[in-house]
This record gives sequence, C-alpha cells and structure tokens, in this order.
Amino acid sequence: MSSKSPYSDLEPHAFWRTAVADAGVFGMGGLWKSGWTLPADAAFATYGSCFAQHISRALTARDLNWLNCEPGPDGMAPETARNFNYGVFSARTGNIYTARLFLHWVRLAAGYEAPKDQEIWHETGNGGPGRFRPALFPTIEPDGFGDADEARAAIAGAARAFHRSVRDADVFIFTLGLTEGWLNRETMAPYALCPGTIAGEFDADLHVFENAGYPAIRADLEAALSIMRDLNPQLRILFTVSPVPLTATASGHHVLPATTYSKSTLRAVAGDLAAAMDHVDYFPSYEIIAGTPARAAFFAPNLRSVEMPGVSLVMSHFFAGLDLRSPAGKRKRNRPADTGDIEASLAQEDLICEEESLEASNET
Amino acid sequence: MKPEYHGSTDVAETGARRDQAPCPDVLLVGDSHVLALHQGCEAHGIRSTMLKSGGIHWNEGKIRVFGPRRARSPFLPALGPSVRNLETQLGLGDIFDNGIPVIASIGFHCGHLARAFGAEGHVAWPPPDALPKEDPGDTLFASRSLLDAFVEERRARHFALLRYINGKCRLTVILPPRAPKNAPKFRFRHNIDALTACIARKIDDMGIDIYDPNTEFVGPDELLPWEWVNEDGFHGTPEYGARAVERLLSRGALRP
Repeated sequence: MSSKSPYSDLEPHAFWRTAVADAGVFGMGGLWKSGWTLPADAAFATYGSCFAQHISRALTARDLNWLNCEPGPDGMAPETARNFNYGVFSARTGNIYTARLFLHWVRLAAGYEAPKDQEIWHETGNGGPGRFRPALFPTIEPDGFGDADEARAAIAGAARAFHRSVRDADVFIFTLGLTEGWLNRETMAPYALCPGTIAGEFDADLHVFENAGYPAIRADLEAALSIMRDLNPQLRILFTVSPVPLTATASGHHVLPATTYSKSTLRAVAGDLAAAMDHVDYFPSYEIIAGTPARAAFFAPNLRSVEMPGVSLVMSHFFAGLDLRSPAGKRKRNRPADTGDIEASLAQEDLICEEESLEASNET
Repeated sequence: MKPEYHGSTDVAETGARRDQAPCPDVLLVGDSHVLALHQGCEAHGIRSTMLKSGGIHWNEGKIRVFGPRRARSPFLPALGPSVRNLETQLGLGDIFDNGIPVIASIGFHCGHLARAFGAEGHVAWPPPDALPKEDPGDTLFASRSLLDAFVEERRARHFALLRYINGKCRLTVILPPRAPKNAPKFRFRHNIDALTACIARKIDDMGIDIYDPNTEFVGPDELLPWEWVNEDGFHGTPEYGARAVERLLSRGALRP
C-alpha cells in the first residue's frame, strides 16, 4: 500500500490555488495545449456564433493562414465588405448559433440539402417588388436580395465556399453558441434566428421552439463531423463555447439559469467529443471569460458583450497552446482561371493611357 | 440644325494662342474615349475643346471637387495644366462657369474596376448565360446590392464631379463604346457590362442626362461592329464619333 495519494505528484496546474487563485486571471498558464503538431502554414477555417468572429480576426492579425473561401471583391473597403458579411467567417454563412444549424450548413455543403429547397422570406412594402431574405441568413446583406433566385444563389455560393473551407482546412474551428433555436415544423429545417425578431414574420403554427439537450446536440455534431471527415479525412475540429450569455430565452426559465443550461450543455458535449475522438479538441474560451478568475471583468456593462481585453486574453492562450512546428506545405492561392488574360488585356490598355499621359505632359 | 463651323481646338493649342482662341462650342471632358467625340465634332464643324486624360488617371481617386461657392475648376492632377490654360482662355476661375455644354466620358473605364471586382472570382448577378448556374465551380455570385455598394465606393469622386458640372452647365454623360475586344473573356466582359450599367443607372438617378450610343446603334447587349472600333480594340473610330455626335446634336446635348 502506497502512502502517496493520486494527487501527490500532480502538476501545479491541477490545483486551484496554484493554478488559479494565486496566479490570477492574467497569470494562468497552460490552460490549453494542442495535441496536434500542425504545419507552419496550417489552414484554419472558422465558423460559429458571433464570438467566433474574433478568432478569424486574430488569426489574420498574426498572419496565420485563415481560410477566406468567400471573400469580398478586391479593394472593397473592409467596413463595406463586413456590412455584407464578407471576411467574417470562412464562408459567408453569418452566425451559426446551434448544432442543428451547423449540421444543416454541413449538409448543404456536401450536397445533401439543395439551395433551391431553402426557405426565402419575402418582404413587401412601398408598392415595389419587395426584398428577399434567406431564412438561413436573413441579414447576410443589409437590404436582402432583389429576387428569390438571387437569394438562393447566395445560399449556394456560401455552401460551395463552406465545402471548399472543409476541403482545404487543416483545422476547423467551431464556436458553439446556443442550445435554443427555432425550426420549421413542416420541414424541421433550422432558422438562424427566430422569425419575426429581425426579419421574417412569426407564425405560431409553423415555427417551433427547440431547446436542444445533450443527446440531440451530440448527435448533430457527430453527424456533421462525419460528413466533414468524408470531405476531408485529415480534418481536425476544434470546438469552443462562446462565453456570451443569451440575449433572451424562450424556454420559460429565467435567462440566467437558461444561459447556464445552454453553455454547460454545449461545454459538456464539446468536451466529451474531444475526449472520444483524436481529431477533435476543445479550447476553453468560455472558461477564460466566464470563469470565476475573471470576476466578470471582461464583460461590458451590459454583462453580455465581451470587451477586447478579454478577447485578447483568450487569443493569447490560443496561440500559446498552438503547435505549428511541422514544415509548411507551401500552399498556393488559387486565382480565377482568366486572370492572366485579363491582366494582359488591361496592360495593353494601360500602355495606351500612359502614352496619353505623356501627350498631356507635352501640352504643358 | 447643324451648327456653324468653327473648327476644333485642343487645350495645347489654346495654350499656345490663347489671346485669339475662340470660345469652344462644347467641352469634352474625360478619358480616352473623348477623342472619337472630338473627331466627331470636327466632322460636324463643331468647335470642341478636350480635357482628356487616360482612364487610369481618373481611377486614381485624385479628383478634387471644390465647394459650390469656390470659383475654381474641379481638378484632376493629370489635367492641371490643361485646365489652367482653359481658365485663362475663358477668363474664368471655373471653366464650367460660362455655360458651355459638356459631354463627359467620366466614371466608366470599367476594365480596371471589373478586374478588381472579379479578382476573387465574383460574377455580377444575374450571371452570363455562358456560366453554368448549377455548377459554377469557384465562382462567387455578387448580388446587385453588392455591385451597387462597390460602385458607390469606387466612383464617389467621379459622381461628385459630375454633380458639380451638372449644377453649372448642361451636361451629358456618354457611355463608352461596347467594343468586342474582351468578348471572349465572358466573365470579365459580363462584369464590365454590369458595372457600366450600374454606373449609368446611378448617374441617371442623379438627374444627369446619360446617353448610351451602343443601345442606339446596335441594340442592348450587342457589341459594336469592328469597323467602328480602332485597332486597339476598344476605342471608337472617327466614324463612330461622328455618328455619336450626330445623335448628341439631335438630343440637344450641345445646346448651351
């Protein structure tokens, strides 16, 4: 019989006092260490709830290989591009808050769902033809689309870009946001947001509330991972949970315990999937922001929005735990096939313009 | 009615003999496409003055438009000397102050714009027939709203200048020839056409007279025949210019 307990030889990070209480929120180390050794030019795809937007920004700021598979037009001002939701996620999906919606996008990307079957909301008014908004991402463009075909083309474009991001990524980072969502009772297709809140009209007979539990979320995520690994067998998936609390709950409960239910369920599923599969990992952004060491200091006065110092701290832990020691794979960026022809044509026109400029100088 | 012949001048010439240079009947302002219009004016005996600089200069975003009470010509750096010569010739601080009608080819020159717009694979919606809608590969469809926002952003200064001129004198903006040069590059051609149409619509929305010779000569969505296009493949011939000016005359665009 040994006199030592199982805790005797544990590292300091295993003890609350040394790892948390004494270290303080800015002194904590080793919160996460990736088990994957990635190439120096590893490609990251990012999706999920609004908190996931910070990850793409941070990856770009560090000059890491963030996949932007559906970029805005070249030279467009960043604020205009963001207005149209370009450069936010690896494809222009908008926020994906629930596991159900995530699975839906994966199925669209893999061709198991068809863009033509997706619900489009038609907004009428002012006697004109009105505007058209896809229920999957009703606010993806500030004013919606001119007709249903254009709206469906946007869905198809995002689905193709999502497919490319899965195909080309080394690591697919998904930030889980909510357990609560809304479905179409007839098709059981998920909505990005409750109809009638920002866009669309609520129909109590058609729109049904779902507060997904652990089994449903795990089943949806496992299905999504399985499809994605079919598209890219080498793909690794990194889950995080957004620390941003619910704006409102339709569960009938107080929003505080509803938030705890939502986040703890998502956290449990993500952790269990990471424990069960080598190609899945979990990064603790939720804990860094919402855990007791932070004493809610990273939240804005509304106790919901996360302030930039918190985001920076999350990302510093992320980059500290990332292992990019494998040799770079020398990836090449694909440009449209006709780029060379267009450049040659414009070079010829520019030459003529330059000659005109010399002519103008001669006039002085 | 055909105007009386006055001969034609360009700004270099007026700079050299500004004391005796007669006042032009029309100012031709803009990119390289105004040359064909200048030749067209000559053919019709209309005295025109060109303020012409290559489209790349117009696209550099250096156009300056002054406040309405500032008696000073709007300014494109590459045209500075020409504008100053004309100010001297007209005896005005602002070349647009004496009501000479203006024909402008400003804001188009969409090759560079289309290159930027399509560099990541964007194709303006609705797509060209040549592009398969069901399986367009890596093509990114750009909504009409996105195209609109892109044009607003990239042509704000051009629009400000056109608004300025339109507030001072009779202005007609003419679309460039829809030349066949880039027709085989169907995605590029399609984006050039979509951007041109969007710019034209915005100019029209500003209440500025806009004239599309292509639609009138060959019909919508058609290309000008090669015999009306210079060897460079995208500028109109003198004959094209003469026909365009003839139509502009009939629209009253050259009346003060």
